[in-house]
Amino acid sequence: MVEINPRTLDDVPATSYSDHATTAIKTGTWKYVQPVYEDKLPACSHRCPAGNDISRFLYLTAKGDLLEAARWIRRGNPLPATLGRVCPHPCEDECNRGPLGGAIAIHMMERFLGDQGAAEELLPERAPATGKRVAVVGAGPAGIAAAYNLALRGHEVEVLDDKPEPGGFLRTGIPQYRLPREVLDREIALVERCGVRFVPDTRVGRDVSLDELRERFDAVLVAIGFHGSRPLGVPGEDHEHVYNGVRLLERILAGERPELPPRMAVVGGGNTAMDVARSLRRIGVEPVVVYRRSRMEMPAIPTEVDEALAEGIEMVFLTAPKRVVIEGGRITGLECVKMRLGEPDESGRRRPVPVEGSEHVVPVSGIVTAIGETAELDMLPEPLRDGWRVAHDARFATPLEGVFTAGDVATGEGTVTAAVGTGRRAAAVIDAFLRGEALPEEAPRVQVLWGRQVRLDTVVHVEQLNLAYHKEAPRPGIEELDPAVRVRDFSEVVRSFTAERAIEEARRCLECGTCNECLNCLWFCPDVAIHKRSGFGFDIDEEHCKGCGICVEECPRDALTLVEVER
Amino acid sequence: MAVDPKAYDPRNLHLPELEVMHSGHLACPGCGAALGMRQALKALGDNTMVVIPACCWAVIVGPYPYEALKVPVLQVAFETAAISAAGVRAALDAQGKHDTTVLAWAGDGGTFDIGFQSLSGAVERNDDIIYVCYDNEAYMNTGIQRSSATPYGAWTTTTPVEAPKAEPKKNMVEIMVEHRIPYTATASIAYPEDFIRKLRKAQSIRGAKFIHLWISCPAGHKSEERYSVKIARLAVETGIFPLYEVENGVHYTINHEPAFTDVAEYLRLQGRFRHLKDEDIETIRRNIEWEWKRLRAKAEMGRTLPAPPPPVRAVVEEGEHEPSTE
Repeated sequence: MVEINPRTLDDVPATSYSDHATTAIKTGTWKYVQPVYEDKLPACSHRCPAGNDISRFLYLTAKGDLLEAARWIRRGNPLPATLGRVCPHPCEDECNRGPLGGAIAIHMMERFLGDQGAAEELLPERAPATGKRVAVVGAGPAGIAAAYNLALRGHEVEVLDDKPEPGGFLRTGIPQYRLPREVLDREIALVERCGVRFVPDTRVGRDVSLDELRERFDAVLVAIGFHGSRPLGVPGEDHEHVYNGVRLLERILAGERPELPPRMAVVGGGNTAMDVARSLRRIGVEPVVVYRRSRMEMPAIPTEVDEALAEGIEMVFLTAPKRVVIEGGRITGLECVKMRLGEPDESGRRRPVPVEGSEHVVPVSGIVTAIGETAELDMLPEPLRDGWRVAHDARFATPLEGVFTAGDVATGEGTVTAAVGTGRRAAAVIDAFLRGEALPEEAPRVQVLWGRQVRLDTVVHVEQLNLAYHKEAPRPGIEELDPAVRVRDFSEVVRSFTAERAIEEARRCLECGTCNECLNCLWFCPDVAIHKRSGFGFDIDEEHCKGCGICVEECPRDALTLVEVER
Repeated sequence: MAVDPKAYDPRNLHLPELEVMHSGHLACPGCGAALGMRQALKALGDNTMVVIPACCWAVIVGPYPYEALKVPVLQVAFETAAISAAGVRAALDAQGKHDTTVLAWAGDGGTFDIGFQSLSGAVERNDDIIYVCYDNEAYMNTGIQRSSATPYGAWTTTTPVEAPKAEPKKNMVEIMVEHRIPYTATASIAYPEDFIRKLRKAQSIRGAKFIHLWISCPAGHKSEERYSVKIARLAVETGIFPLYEVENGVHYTINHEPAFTDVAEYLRLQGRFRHLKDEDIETIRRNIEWEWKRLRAKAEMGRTLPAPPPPVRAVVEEGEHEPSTE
């Protein structure tokens, strides 16, 4: 401050004339609250079971930095090209852009970025080798995700699988028209490049025992997935033309073309039922889907159902099988009973109740069951078996020291995305275990592993945004092969976005909870107390900020928070 | 490619980088007048002289020997903003400094009431000044006394809740328009691009220019500091404060078509309206409707009416700032 202490009249200017900047006045002392830049969890990422940092990779894409975006998504998720194709994308249900022109096509963006880049430029740097060895049992999505993350943390990882090629259900259960094999192969090759060794044709409990693995490795992860099928439980289901959906699909997808009856009932309403029906259609069999509830209750991804219907696949709803009709040793039909929906059951869906006297025969000559998968745990030692799942605590640790679990056998969530998420989380726990650190109370949330500062205790929903700055913009259409063309073979149905479309779509993202340097905070500060950094972001001039909070309120995306000043 | 991958622009607003205001000024937290001045000088640049009569800004600008602006400021008596600015203009012209902009920056009390006659005189003589009235709708600096800019229904210390202001707000813009000056406009701190364009347009016109800037005042409106821009935006979007400009006293351009958000949204954020009953709010709604009918009728009239015949006051120079309709 300037001394003003006139001693005589001569010291007083004739006209008062101010020539010192008010910056000398520290108005920052007035405040009792102050703004802080604080990225928060967007609603989309909050719902992402794989824990993708969506707003960040969309921001990088919007900037045109496609390679950096592709690298960002691969920091903990080794399967973006795959997930973008097969995930039911719950993120899009939550997307705050929804009411403003339709949700961002996040799955198309993940897929686009997953397809970007060459191996040598994509992979994150590996931590220095720890000398620790991990065996992962099961080369499905959970095992691959865990193996990738453990390898990146410097551990030596072997992934054992009883199939000749890695991929698990991605290879045996997801048809090529949804997931082309070159896409899967490329992602697995990237994981191998990180040092992960895949050991094929090795079944734990048959070719090697779990105890042996525990001796040879410092930690073991059991991620064997759901490969058992539930039986229909109706008379006649042991007929040779009643097929297990999972097994049949595996054979078809491996390129086998078994001799099948010309018209087959596919019993079930989940993704396996859709995959079986659409695959049968592609090899010249006429499928008819039989489901005991209505379309609304189908557990299959809605777009899969739409695509199946577009391919002319017949579906009968509210119909449950009662008996396989066999005449002269051949199947002539599936006797069914009509159902109606009663009260909701424990799954929240309305329970189907048989309508008396509604028995009728659906004329088919073969039947495929696809009413849900379960684990096959019989080759695991007793302490690991806990009903349908592998026994484990909140850290994915099983009762056996050094043995962990992930994926469907752990949580039974039943999606590839959830499997990847649990694989990432289990890997974080195993890493702590291998380093001899104290294990966390529970496995960290995937978002904790992002590697950027994000507040995770609040989720940014539409109410937290400043909608004055978000204009409506329509969601782009997603191009598909014509149904009449695509049923001829297993060509991929959905076309990828072009780079141009992807960048345009990324620019539609509201960047909820994620600062993108829009400058609103800086422009609207009445105290000129916010300054752009030379790098990313802003500095708040604490000496002059009066804590009015306009910057917090005018931030379009809730990337600032008003906090109490500590004195 | 129709999309330029490198041309990513996350900005919602595109404002000049130039900063002509210092931190450390004495405005209250969340002050709309401080934000308004910051925006105004971004538009006008640093070759500007500012004339400030008694008003909040006479305090905000800083105690002796401090100054919050990087341009010369002349502090003058309450009733003399316009005429002092005209004097500064004449002095600058006498020195050949024709490219220096003179900005008179006065509150609603110094404009609507106390400075009214000197303002009317200056614009009647078409003195070449930009006069911005930053309007927070009462004498906030002296303790929130009612002015003729205070809106119907508002509480002030001189219109207590038992007898809130019963008269409508004086329509200063239309009074200026009736002087047939070259340029009159309204503006809001929540729409800085519009405000800046209007100031630059005013800068390109010789003669008297009047801009009515609506600002929030947390202390006087009894509103939360963080809502200052939000309330200013709602003033526009509810239709209470239309954004428009008038050239030569006849050609109206409505710059922003409001969403006509219910005015209750705007009122409930301000303690000065807390006492209003449903029927009072209904009165305000009806007035908004009527004012908009009148404004649209005038805009329509301006489309068909030719420019006024000589003698005209205006010397309109070719400017790059065409009126815009959003």
